[in-house]
Amino acid sequence: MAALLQLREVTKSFSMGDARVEILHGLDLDVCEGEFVALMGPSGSGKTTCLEILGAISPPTSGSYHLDGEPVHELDDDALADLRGARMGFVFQTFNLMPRMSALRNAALPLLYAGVPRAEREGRARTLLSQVGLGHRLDHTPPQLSGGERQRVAIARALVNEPRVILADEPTGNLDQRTGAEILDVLSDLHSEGRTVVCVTHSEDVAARAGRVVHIRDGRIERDDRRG
Amino acid sequence: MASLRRSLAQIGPLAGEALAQLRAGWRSQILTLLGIVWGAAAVVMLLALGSGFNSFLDLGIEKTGARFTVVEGRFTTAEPGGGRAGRKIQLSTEDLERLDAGLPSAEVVAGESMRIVVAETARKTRATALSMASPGIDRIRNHFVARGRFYDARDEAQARRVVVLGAALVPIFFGDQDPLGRTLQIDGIPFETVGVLAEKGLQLMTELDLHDRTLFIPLSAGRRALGYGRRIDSILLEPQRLDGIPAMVAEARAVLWPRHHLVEGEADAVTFQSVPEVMGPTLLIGVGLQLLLGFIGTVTLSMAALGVANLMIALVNERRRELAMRRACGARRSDLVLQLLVETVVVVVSGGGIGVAAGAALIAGLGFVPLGGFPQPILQGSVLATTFGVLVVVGMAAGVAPARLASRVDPAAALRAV
Repeated sequence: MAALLQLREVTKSFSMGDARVEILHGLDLDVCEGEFVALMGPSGSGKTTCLEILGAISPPTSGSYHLDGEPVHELDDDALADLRGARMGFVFQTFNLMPRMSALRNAALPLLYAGVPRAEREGRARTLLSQVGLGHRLDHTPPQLSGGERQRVAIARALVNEPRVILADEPTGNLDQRTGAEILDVLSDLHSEGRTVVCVTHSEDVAARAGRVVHIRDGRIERDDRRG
Repeated sequence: MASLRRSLAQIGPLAGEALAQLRAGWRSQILTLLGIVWGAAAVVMLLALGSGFNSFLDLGIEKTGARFTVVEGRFTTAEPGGGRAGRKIQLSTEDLERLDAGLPSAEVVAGESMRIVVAETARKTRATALSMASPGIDRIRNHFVARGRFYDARDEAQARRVVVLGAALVPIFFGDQDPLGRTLQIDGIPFETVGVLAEKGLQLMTELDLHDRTLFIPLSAGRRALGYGRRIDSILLEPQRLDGIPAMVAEARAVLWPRHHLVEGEADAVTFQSVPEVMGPTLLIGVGLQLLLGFIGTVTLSMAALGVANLMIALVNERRRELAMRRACGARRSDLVLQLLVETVVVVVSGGGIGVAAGAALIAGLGFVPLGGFPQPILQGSVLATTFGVLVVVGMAAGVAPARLASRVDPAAALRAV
């Protein structure tokens, strides 16, 4: 099967003062449509950087990144923004919700930048919030919601634009074990519906749900375990 | 092109997003708003003051007539064929008749002479200014009659001894009595009072309120009854159209030059001074004042806007994660620029709106305070429109720095713990 996400010889370096620090050293990675991939590794190994590149949030310093055959590494800033808005859904460790806006408005946000009319934006966000079990809390603001509920709002937001890929960064990192398990159920459900999920995690629980675990160490892929 | 179309289509929704953001966080803006409120109120009040002063000038000119050209005889300066300069040119009723007949560009032609006379009633005797002029003078000089009538062509033709009083003279010569029909002696000759002018107050082209303290009689009555002869101090020409003044002056020269044996190069023997030309520079002072006041107000407002810009920059720094998340969710840099600009403009314009209302209320309140002769500030539509325009421009300017800052937020910041 052709890869949906394909990284080739990807490096990423940052300047820190006068020095340049290379985080990724020539990474090759293929993710196929419908896979649930966990990126694991110690802190500073480069897994979040890898997720940023996959999410078209930050461009590789060298090497190529193709999404569905399209050369993402050649896109300009606006095109990258449009691509994120149309094909990526992000779930963050800290939820990153707008604290003073309602759950509905938070979940509908990506559609605003996609130019979707307001009624349709809110309709789709309402449907998704109901699917993640928040149909009764549409008008609540994040401070009025529990941690698990907030992450559900974030997941609804990640899904609202019907993305090809869901990228999650430690989605259960700020949740207690029971709530984390609920969120993992949601991600597993999405995967079983055929969505592609890439998830950065330290948690073995998360890794256990993934069909594939990619271990990254010192900016290189150390091990690539596929199950089933 | 497609990018521009997308930006245009996004203005409405992004403005909605900016408003929602402001509705949620307006409390943090209140103190900054106060600065804007005061700034906008200052702009409105200063502009209204300038506008009041301008209309004071306009009205001041209007009171003595704003359109006419004065023709006056002076001395010759040219020395044709060895002749001597310095011959006095005296205008007369004959000049007046010729001009009246020979100026197609003129609407009204009127002779006018001013003298000081002794006026007397049973109540009072006193030296008073006297205007002897053709009947059209009331039109040229905007003499509005409060009671009775102004003298007319028939009074002039029959040299009737009728007099019209400036408003301030009635209590002096007649006290509380109705002056109409009563007799007033001018240099010992009885005249019948036929009218009283409306009060003019401060005038700009004459000495203060001169017209309120003047007696007005027909030119012919001055000549025949008072013995002032055929000489006339000046002839006033009112053009049919304001742009017809040069043509009218040329026609008047064609009449007067041969009559007074003036050579072609003679420039100053007869002078033509038109009020619009003479008053132009005075009106410029008003415009200059308006600009100065507007500038001071705008600077005040801009200072307040700097406060807003500062606050917005602080807010952008506080909202880095949120803005990064928006970028991750598909917002382009230009989307964030637009959103921040709208947020700033809304803060400035809404604070400004309150300030404009406060300024307008103060000006309206000032309307109840007697200011004497001092010009009342006038709140015109143009003042409000200018203030609003200034507000939008200042708001945009205040929004530039925070918007640029917002557009530089790295979407990766959404993933990194700050």
